[in-house]
Amino acid sequence: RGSDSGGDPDSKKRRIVNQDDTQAIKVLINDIKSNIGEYVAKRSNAEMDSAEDIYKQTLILFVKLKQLNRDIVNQTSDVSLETKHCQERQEDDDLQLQNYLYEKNHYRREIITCQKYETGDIFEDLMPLDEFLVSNQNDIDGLDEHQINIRRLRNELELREEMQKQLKELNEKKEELIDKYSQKMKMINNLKNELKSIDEVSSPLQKLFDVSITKNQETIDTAPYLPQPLYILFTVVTAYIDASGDVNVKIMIEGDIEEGKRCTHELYNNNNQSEMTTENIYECHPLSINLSISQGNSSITLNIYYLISLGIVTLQSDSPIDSLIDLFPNDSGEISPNPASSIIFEDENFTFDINVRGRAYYWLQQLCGLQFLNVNHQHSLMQTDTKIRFSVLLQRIKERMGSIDELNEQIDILKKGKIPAEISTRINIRNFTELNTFKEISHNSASKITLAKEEGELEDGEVGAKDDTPKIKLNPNSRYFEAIFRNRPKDEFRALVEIPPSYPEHPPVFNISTKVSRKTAPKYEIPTILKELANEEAYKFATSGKSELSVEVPNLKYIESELNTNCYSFLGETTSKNEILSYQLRKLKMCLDIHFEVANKGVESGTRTPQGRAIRGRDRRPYFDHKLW
Amino acid sequence: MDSKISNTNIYLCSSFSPDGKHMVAGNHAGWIFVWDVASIDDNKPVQPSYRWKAHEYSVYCIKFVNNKLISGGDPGLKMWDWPTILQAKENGEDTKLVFDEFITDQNTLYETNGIDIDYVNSQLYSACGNKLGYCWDIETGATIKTYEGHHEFLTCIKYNRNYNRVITGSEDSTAKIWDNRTNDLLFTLDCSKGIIGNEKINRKKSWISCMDCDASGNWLICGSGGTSVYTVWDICSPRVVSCFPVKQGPEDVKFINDKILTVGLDSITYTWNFSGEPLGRTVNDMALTSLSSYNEVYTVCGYSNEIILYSPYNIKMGSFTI
Repeated sequence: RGSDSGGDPDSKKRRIVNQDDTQAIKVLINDIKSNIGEYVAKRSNAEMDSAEDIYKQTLILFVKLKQLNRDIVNQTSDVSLETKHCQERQEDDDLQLQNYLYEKNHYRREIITCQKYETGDIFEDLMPLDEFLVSNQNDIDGLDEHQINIRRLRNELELREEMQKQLKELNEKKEELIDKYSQKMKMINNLKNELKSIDEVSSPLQKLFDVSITKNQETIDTAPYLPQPLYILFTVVTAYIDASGDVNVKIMIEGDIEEGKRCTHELYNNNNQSEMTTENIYECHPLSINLSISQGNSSITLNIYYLISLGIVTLQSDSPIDSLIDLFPNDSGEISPNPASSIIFEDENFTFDINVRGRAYYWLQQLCGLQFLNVNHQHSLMQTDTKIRFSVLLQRIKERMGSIDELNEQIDILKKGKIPAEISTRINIRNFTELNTFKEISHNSASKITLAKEEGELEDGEVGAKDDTPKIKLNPNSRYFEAIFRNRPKDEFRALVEIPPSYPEHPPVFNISTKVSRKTAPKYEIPTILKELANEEAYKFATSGKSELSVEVPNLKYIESELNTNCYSFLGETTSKNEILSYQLRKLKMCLDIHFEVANKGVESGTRTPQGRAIRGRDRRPYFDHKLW
Repeated sequence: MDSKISNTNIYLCSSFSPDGKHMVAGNHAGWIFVWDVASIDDNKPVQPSYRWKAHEYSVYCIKFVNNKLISGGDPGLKMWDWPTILQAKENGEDTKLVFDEFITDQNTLYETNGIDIDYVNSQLYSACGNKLGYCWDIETGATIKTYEGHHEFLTCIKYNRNYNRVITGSEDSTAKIWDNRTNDLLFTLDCSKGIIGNEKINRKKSWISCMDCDASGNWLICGSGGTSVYTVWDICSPRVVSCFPVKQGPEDVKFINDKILTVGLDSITYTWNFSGEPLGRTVNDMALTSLSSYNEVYTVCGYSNEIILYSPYNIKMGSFTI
């Protein structure tokens, strides 16, 4: 075996150990052993000098042995070091071999994959060769097709990656913008509420400075586009509001501004005259005025329109009952105040459909500066020279609203069967009747009630009466109610109450009828003596017929007359006129009580005036006049 | 008067003027109306040419004498000058008309329910609400006699020239016949039963509502409310001769020539002959309270605005209205 120098610097100096050395070692060892033996022997023999010599020899032998041993050891270590080095190298090589093998396998697999890879049409998706060549002319020179393709692929990949990056960026931007936009939208939507709350919060301050920020400016800007009559009305009302500081009146302009501009312009060009035709008579100006008046808890809203074709101003109110009818006498707003319409339509009192655009009141025309010469109607408003002032009108409207409120309150109480009014009397009127029902009825039902009168049967020789016409003309603008009073034998007294729109200037009108139950129906019996004298035919006729009297009960007519004519006199000084309905009903009840008692007992009725009489006069009328109570 | 509520108008008395040219009626509110008969028209009702408020409450009876119009109402018994009224009608003014009044301490507060006139002696008889009948001198206005004896207020009074008797009807369901000269009560007639009664009569829901004497003065007809019967009496004896039952409420009766016309609350105008036979009926559409006649035509009125004028054959000729 060869020796390799390894790392030991002294190794060059080392002697190579071989078989001889081994032999020498063995000899040495034997010599030593023998020497030792000899020594021991000599020592025991006390041969010191020879022992010393042996000893020294032996020491020399030991040294040689040591040297030999040292040599052996050194050699062993050298060899082992060499071995180690070789082993290391071998391992490295092995590892490298593995790596190469792995790599080779890898490449082999890759090659197989690449060979298996279906390129398909990938080259179609790429940038066309020409383009590529054009754009990358420099790089490609001298390359073969394979390289060009590779370059192409790479290029394509790069381009696409870049585009994707751009796409991502743009998407992100888009998201951002959308976010921003939605936030701004939210803000704008909240703005309205915020402004409102600002307005509310600052309203005390506004009041202090007497400035109202919000709507007025817009209204004032629109005003010039109103047609002339509405403009006049607008100025009158705003002047009133400014002058009086009345917060209960508010005025606004509604409608399409552009249309309004155009329409007013047209009117102006035609000198404010529009040809009146029979078609499309309800054509109205696009702009309208919205006037709201409030009083206490209630308020009404009036929409005021200008009808171009008819040349009049109409008013539509929001309450279910047109509460402004007859605000002035005889002014229901149903007849066109413009005399021209009576010529065109050949009708003296041309009435139009109030459901389309409301009613045309005379006072409204006046307020709007429309002065019509009134040919047919004897109307006090139109004939005087005095102009109606808005404050006066407002006062009337408010009074009317108050009256209606109080009226409705009374009606509510009455519906429950109570009469919210008392009349004091000196005489004792006993309670026979009570209010059974009080309810509102339709005009249809009202007309049926008035035809209740029954006719007698006609026999030979008789001449019939003229055709029955309804006794009461129904006023389409009035409200009709039915009050039924009952007494214990179940007689029924029914009062048809008409409440005109001008309540309480015109009091409710009563129409009373009765149905007598079988128990109290008086039976008329002719005494026997007279029966004999009576003509048989006449007697039969007289006693025929139902026991329920449907003929006139005289007292009821007197009660009616009392209620309808003297009504305000039993109100007293402190009671407001608005309560007239309740007082009338209270009076009606008291009169019915008196009537019932007198009808049953005649002169001996218990209800007597202070003069001691129960009935008076040839018509045997009880004391329905409250002045005598 | 507000025309709106004129459906509650009730006429209580009516009369033609002596020349037949005018119609006069009084209503329950105390107004007296005057119409021109000549303007009567088939199609349109005639409006009053004049009206005025004569009494505070009602006008119950109305009669012409000479040139005067006497109205009895609640309260008061007044005499108006007829030419002045015609004059006022021409002028169309609302003049305050002057009247004379027949008044005493006793009757100031009471109503006058019925009147009758003695044209010959120029005397006025009135049935008053204070249970008395009066006889007045028209010229002086002084009370000549009073007739006392009824238990309840008087409703009508009639002067019978033939026998010089005064007949009074009352709420107490009796009619009393008085001798005009001596002022004695001669008879008390219970008209509801048709007998000559005693003083105390069970007056259950029956009262004299109207009376009339015929032209000859022999016959008296009384209407009894409550029993709804007219009884014809022979004044001389007196006894019931015939009886006319009606459906309801006798209100007015008149002898017209040889017939009797009755009207009442049942709104029927009956024509009878003296023996009680019904000759015809006319149904109107309102309860009737008053009947007046002139020659052959007559008018009926009552619980409505209209006074209807009929010809002798019960054909409507026209109407007067408010």
